[in-house]
Amino acid sequence: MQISEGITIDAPIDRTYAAFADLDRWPEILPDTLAVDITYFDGYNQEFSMTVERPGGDETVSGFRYCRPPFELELFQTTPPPVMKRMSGLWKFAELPAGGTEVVATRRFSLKTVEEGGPAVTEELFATTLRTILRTNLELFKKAVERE
Amino acid sequence: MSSSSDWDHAEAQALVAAPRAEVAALFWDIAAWHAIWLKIDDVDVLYDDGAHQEFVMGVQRDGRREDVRTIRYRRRDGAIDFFSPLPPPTMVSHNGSWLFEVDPAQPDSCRVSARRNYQLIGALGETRTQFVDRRRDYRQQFEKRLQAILDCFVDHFATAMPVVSEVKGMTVCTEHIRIECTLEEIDAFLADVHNLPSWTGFFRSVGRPVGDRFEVKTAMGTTIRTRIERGDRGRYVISSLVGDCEERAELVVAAAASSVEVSFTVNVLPALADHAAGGGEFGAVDGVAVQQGRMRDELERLRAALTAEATVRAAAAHHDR
Repeated sequence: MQISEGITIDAPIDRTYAAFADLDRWPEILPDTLAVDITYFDGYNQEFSMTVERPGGDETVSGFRYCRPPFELELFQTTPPPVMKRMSGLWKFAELPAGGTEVVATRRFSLKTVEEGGPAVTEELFATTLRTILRTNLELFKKAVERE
Repeated sequence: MSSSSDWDHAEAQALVAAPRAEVAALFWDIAAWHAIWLKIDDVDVLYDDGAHQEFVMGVQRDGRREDVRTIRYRRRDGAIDFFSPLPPPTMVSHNGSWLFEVDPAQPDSCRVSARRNYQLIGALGETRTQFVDRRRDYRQQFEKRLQAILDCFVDHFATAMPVVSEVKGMTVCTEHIRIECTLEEIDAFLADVHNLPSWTGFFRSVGRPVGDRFEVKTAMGTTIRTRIERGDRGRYVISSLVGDCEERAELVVAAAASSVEVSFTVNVLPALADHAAGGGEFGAVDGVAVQQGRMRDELERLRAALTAEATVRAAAAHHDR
């Protein structure tokens, strides 16, 4: 299952990209992000783990990102959220002719079955929730970048 | 803090006699490497979704074991980029790529390029000049090693040896035989599940079809579901469902003058490989030597069965005249 959400941020592409790329800033931008640990970064390849607050308790995910400034960040999680089998994603950044930056976030995921510990909902229904989270996060980044 | 001048680069190339897709797929299948490049002790694939992969590999370098953790990324054209968050112990950083290019003049071949970028760790008390000299020597050795890896893949595709992915700690047994028959004759024989009891010891009788498989009685008295998958380049896989598990044995057939060369490969479970021979035929206690002996016997029976078929055909042809 794949979902996408987009937003326009009134800031140059470099500054917008930098906010998404700098994981150390995430706890100050996204209130549900409790901790971030970057265990490897060579300027392009990045290994990280992140703990987020969820209604059912704190969740720690880990994975890798490929940083392609200022146009793209690609993500895959080797340890996705507990209800998921797989989770990968992409942020794309594009300069708008009238100024500002368009950000499109895409997520591809598959859920565990109920027997494996997955949720008792369809992927379509789960996608609706995930789309809301994605949209909320993009709006929080917009606020943070525009007030810089 | 490192600077760009600390980075060294190594490169090697080879022309592999196989289509690009096949070559690129085998380079991605890191669990299959152990059968091709013998310096690998073991590989533990931690994650693989087809585009991203994480594994830990134990390799031999200069007589010592090194454990390297690597993350790989497969591009749409099949090229593989990677980096090692846990690099070889001599390095601070290590990344690189495998590139696969087709020469239009040789569409069935593929040029493989290995590119590496790395930073060596400076030794205590080493002068700048000594470090520069060591870096130069290391690069030469590294390029030789890369070339050796590529040459192993060249040999692998040239001899059409079977590919068997190592399931952690499994021992791979391969036996070969030459049989006087044509490729068409051996193809017709190997591709038919009903012929398995005539040359293998494990499959005793073939029953009714269930989906794309047949119910087969085994020497252990159990009933399993088996099919034979025809692959490309003369590859046949005997695939059996035992409960929820699939067990696979592989045969690779290649033409050799007026005969065919057959390679037969099976994986032996670690528990079986560790034990000495004993426990009766197909019992729980078995050994690699016993397995290999059994495979040799089976290949001999395969040769006898095909020879008998050829004799019957010749007799029938004699009657027709």
